[in-house]
Amino acid sequence: MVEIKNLTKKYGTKLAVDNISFTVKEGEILGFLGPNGAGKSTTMNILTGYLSASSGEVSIGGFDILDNPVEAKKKIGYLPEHPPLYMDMTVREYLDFVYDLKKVEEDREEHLSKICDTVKITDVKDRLISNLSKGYKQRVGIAQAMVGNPEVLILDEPTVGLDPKQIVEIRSVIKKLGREHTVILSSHILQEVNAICERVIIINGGKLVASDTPENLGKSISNENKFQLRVAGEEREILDILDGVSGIKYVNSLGRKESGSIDFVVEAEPDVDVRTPIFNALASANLPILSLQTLDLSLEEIFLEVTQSQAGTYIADVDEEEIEIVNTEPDATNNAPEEVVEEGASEDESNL
Amino acid sequence: MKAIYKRELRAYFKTPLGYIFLFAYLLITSAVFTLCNLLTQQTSMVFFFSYVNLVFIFVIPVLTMRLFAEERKNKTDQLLLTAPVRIVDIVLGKFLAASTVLLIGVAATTLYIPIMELYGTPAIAESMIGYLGLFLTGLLFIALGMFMSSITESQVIAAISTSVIILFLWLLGDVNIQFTEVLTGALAWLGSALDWLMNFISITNRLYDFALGTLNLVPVFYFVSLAGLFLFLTVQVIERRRWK
Repeated sequence: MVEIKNLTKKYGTKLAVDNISFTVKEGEILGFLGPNGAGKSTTMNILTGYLSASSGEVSIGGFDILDNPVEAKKKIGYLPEHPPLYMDMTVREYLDFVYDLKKVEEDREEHLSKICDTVKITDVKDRLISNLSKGYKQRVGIAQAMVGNPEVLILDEPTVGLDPKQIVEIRSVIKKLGREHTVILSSHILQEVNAICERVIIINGGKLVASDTPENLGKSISNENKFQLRVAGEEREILDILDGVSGIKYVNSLGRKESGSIDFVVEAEPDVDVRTPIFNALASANLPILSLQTLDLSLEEIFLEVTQSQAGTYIADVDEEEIEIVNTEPDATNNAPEEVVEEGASEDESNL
Repeated sequence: MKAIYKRELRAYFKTPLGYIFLFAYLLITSAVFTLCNLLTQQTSMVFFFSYVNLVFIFVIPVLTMRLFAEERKNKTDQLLLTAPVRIVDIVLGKFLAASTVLLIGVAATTLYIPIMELYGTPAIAESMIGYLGLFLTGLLFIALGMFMSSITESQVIAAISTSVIILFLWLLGDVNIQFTEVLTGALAWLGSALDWLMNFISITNRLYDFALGTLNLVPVFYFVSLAGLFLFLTVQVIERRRWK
C-alpha cells in the first residue's frame, strides 16, 4: 500500500532522513518510533507530499507522490504534528470544508456524522474550534484525516497532549480504524506503539535502526525476571539474607529512597519465581518488604540502546549482557520505574 | 478551488477583515469623490479616477496579508498541501475570494454616478470604464499582496511590504525625471532604456486611458498579465518551499 525507497531528505547540510526504505502492507498498523528530532515528522511530511524528498521514492497505492500527487493524496488522510485547524470555524463548518476540499463523493450528512460519532465530537460540532480543549482539537484533527475514508491514515503523534482517559479512547479508535485502513502512526511512547501496532519501525538520527513486531520486542520483556525491591532495615543485613535465597542471579543496591529502607534490583535465574522465597526469608528475619515490583523496563532499555548507539543494532541482536549492563547503572534503573508509572503503566493495564 | 474560495470568502466576513476593508475603502473613496466631484460640482470623473487608486496602498494589505502567511503560521497549509488539490487551485481560490470582496467594494462605489445625477449629467459609459480600471488595478495589487504573503510567515511584514511596493509603483509614475536628458553621450542607450522601464512600470501611465474613459486593450492586457505573473510566482514559491 505504501512503499518507500531510499528516502533521503537534507535540510541544507543536515541530513534529516537518511536513506530509509520500508513498505506497509494493506490493513497493517505500523508504529513509527523514535526520539524527538529523529526524523519521524519529516518522513511523514514527505509521505503525504507536504515536503519533497531530496532523493528516493514514495508511492501510495501505486501512485508516486511526485508524479501523480493528486491521485496519491486522495488515498491519504493525514494528521500532522499540529492539527491543521481553522480557529474561526465551527467543527461542523471545518469538516464540511475538508469534505469539499477532498471532493468526497459519499453522502455528506451520513459520512460526517459517522466520523463525529467515531471520535466522539458530536456534542461539540457547533462550537468554534478555537474554544475547544486540546483533547477535542486533537480529535477534530483525527476526524479531518478520516474524511473521505482514505485507504491510508498517517497519524503523527495522535495522542500527544491528551489526558490518560482520552489516550485510551483514541488508541481504541485507532485500533478500530486499523481494521479498514492502513495506518502509520508515530510516537515516542513505547507502550503506545506496543499496544496498537502490528509492526514497529524505530528510527534515530534519520536512520532506520530496527524493524520488528511488538511481540518480538515484547519477548525480551518476558525473558526478564527482574524486580525492584524496597525493604526496611540495614543494607548489609538485607544483602546477607538475599544472598542466602537460591535462584537469585544478582542483587544490586540502589541506596536509600525512603528513610529507614533500602531499594534493590534483584534479577532471578530464568524461569524461577523468587518472590515467595524472598518474602519468606526476609519475613523470618523480621525485615518487612515495603514494595516489590516487576521491572518491565527492557523495551525502554532496548529503545535507548538502539537509539543511542549510532551503529544501528537490530533489536533481536541485542543480547542479554548488554541489557544487564544498562540495568546495573543506578541512573538507568532510578529513572525508569518512574517513567513507567507516568507514561504507560496505568494505561497498559486498561489496554490488556 | 471552489472549497477554498468559499472558505476564504466566508473567513473575510466572519473575521473583521472584510468589514475593515469595505469601511476603509468606502471612506477613502468617498472623501476623494467629495473633493473631486461634489465640492467642485463636476460630473467628469477623470480627477477622481486619477487619485482614487491611492486607496489601495491602505486597503489591499487588509485583504491579502493573511492569505498565506496565516496558513503557514497556524500550520493549516499542511491540510491544503496534503489534500488532493493542485497548488494552482489553492492560489486561484484565494485570489478569487479576495477579488470578490474587492468587487463588492468597487460595485458599491458606482453609486457615485446616480449621486451626480442630482446636479448634472454624468458620462456613465466613460465612468464605468474608469471603474473597470480601478478594479483591474486592484486585481494586480491583490496578486502582488498574495505573493508577499506567500513569502513570509508574518502578516505584518506581508502587509507593510505590500503597501510599500504599491506606494513605490505610484511614485515611479510621478517622477518626472527624463533619464535621456540626464544621461547623454555614451550612456544615452541607458537613459532611453531607463525611461522605457519607468514608463512600463508606471501604473499611473497605464491608468490614464481608463481615467479618460477610453477602453484600450493594451493596459487591460498589462494589468491582467502582471496579475497573472504574480499568481504564477506565488505558486512557484509554495512549490519550491517543499524542496528546501
